[in-house]
Amino acid sequence: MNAAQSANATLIQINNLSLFYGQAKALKEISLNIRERVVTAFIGPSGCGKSTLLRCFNRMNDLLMACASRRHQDRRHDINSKDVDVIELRKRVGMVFQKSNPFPKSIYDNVAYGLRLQGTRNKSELDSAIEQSLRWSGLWEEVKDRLHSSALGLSGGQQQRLCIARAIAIKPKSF
Amino acid sequence: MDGGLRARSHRHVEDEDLILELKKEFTIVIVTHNMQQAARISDDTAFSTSANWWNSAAPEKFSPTRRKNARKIT
Repeated sequence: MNAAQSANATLIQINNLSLFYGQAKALKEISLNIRERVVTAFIGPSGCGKSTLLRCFNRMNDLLMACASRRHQDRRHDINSKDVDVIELRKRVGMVFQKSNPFPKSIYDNVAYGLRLQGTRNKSELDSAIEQSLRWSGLWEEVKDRLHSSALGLSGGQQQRLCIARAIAIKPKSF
Repeated sequence: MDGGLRARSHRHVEDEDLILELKKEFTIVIVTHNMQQAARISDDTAFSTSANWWNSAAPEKFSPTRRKNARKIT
């Protein structure tokens, strides 16, 4: 490792990860490190396993996998261990997909969703967290006067930024 | 460039700015087909073909003009 690389510590370490869809090996003995607070890009042709690998980060493949020898770690905690609380893991690893998928609810309720699941009920706490998330995702100025209108009325780009706001509202470690 | 296309590429630039802004707070992994985009905004790049993955600290290492990489990519 050179100096520039070591500036940010490794947050997620993938160790010899393989994944099968039935008999088909989708990921083959992958080892990668994801550094904290940097942007890591996965590039490659369609079907090479980029999204499959990404979905391993919060165990969204659990129901799809027929068999997998999985051993990747989140800060020395093996996220594939049976003891891991998957809900807790997913609070820490948020995801935003290529096709935006806002809930058929108001803009406000979309961003509040995760916070309410976590038990935040206090209105002023919710209000300020929602404003901060929408500001982060660059949507606040466009929607601040219609927070209670349906999210489905937003444009495609706005819906995507809403999904980003929803993902970061609960302050994940990565997304 | 028509209006729609211009709007789209403008949005891409906005999205990339957003990612760069958000990385101050969060660790971000993006999946993209777009090598130029990966080169613009990523600090680390992992390139995959169906069988193998290469991990790199610097996206420019994947430039297809480098002979070693051209062999991997094509």
